[in-house]
Amino acid sequence: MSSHREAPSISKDPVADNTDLYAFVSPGNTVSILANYIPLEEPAGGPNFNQFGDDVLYEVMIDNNGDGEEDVTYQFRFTTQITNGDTFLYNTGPITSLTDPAWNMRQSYSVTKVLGRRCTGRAAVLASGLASPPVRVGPRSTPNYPVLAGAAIHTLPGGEKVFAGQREEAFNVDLGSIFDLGTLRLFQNLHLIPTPAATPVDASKGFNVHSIALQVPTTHLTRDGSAPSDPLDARAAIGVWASASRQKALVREAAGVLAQSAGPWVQVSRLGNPLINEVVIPLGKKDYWNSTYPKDDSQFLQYYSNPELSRLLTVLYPGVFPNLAALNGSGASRADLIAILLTGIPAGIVGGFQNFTGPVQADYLRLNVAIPPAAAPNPLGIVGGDLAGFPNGRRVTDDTTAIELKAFAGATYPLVAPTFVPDGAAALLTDGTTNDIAPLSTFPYLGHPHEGYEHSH
Amino acid sequence: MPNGNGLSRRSFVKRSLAGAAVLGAVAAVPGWLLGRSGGEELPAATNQSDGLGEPIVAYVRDAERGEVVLLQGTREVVRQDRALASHLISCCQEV
Repeated sequence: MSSHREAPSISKDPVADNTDLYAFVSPGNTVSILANYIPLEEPAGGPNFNQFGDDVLYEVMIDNNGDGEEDVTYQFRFTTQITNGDTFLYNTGPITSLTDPAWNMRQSYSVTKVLGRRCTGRAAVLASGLASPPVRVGPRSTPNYPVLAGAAIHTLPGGEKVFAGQREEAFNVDLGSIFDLGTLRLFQNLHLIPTPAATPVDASKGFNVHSIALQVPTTHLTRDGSAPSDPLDARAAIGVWASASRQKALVREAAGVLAQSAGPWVQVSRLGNPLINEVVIPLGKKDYWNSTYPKDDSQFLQYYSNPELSRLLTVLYPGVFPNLAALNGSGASRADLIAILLTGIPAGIVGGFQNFTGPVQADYLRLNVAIPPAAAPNPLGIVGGDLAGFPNGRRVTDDTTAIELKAFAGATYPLVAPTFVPDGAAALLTDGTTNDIAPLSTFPYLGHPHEGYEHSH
Repeated sequence: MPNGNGLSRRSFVKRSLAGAAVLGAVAAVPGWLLGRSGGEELPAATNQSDGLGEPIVAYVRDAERGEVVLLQGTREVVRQDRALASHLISCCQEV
């Protein structure tokens, strides 16, 4: 999936697994950032429903000067409280408010903002004891869930809005086909091992995630506190990524004693652009990639400049991508992918647009904060002529699977080599899935979670 | 002879404040908590608590060099101290 269970080690540690990251301009001169964790949450996962890890440091970073390092960081730490240890129930009655005594297992969290590098910067606790909403259990336990979730949107003194809790999984993808040797059901009649074309299946349908949502005044994020209105203003491009860290040591005590963590935080997961650690970074490097920082991403350049996925397409779909095969065979570096994913698109490539952060190659979402939200968003983003969408940041409705499939198939190579003619199939590539639940139109944007009671897996 | 990596794993020792060996070192040389840290980036959240009063985890990372890593709260201190390493190793061998 986007970055769900994408590396061997983190696939065994779902609480710390970054799954998706979104960053987009929102109304009122704000930027909204949604950092999702815990892949493929089964809504009916009681009695111990999914929750954030009390022993995990969740972070959202912003680079506003293009050096690949964080200039602004928001840190989130969670605390779980069990109010009644003498019952197996998550709730002992309907939960009608965030202070309802019937809610037996609740989480609260703190938000810390760091200006400068995380290791040396100035940290300030913005808030603590903020309530997360309960998970969505069912009509008896969590009636009127939108009200409960809405009460868990907190406005901080600095103007930020925060929400941390369960949400509907908005990333749709046909996992079952893609990881069956790269099959795309719509086109599998053309696959090396052909079967009749078929209807796509959204493998994430009906699942939930846990999301940390943050809406920040734009002026909090830019290098000089401005809110640029000219998209070509270099100050308008910011980089956004998210991570999860665990302390270096964990000691399990004898029965009845809680495990003890100690030592500095060690990053175990990170996420910038979707699908990168999933299908660009090779298996032997995935856990290492998760432990590294965007500023050092030039070490992975070969996987972007000569991506395995582009080579696979020509093998798995013989005869369908002759121009891509020639491009692959030429040894030319995929400068288009390097720009889109590692440096941003410089001015002059796409009319009226840039999200170039400089020469430092760093894998993070690049958002031009001067591009206003689109009145009619195109899920293909810039590829579809909508400058407010991926790879200008990433919106919830952007079809990043289709966009990246097209890009890796060569559809974006003319950005750097105008004489290159993409194969006709490149523009058609998609896994064919859509999300059947529309996102919310307002913060925290991701849809309300599926109820355990109604789950269908 | 034990090698560095294997020995480090076997030498993983945890002592609570009520414990003995590592705490003794703390009491004897209180200034070492300000000694050099590991080479990793430390998120600023680590500065929210100095960890004093929390249990200490110690391990011998490189026995030949006498490199001992001490973890308390969110702090990490790396010491080049052959005597301390030897002491920890002998504690483990007594078990």
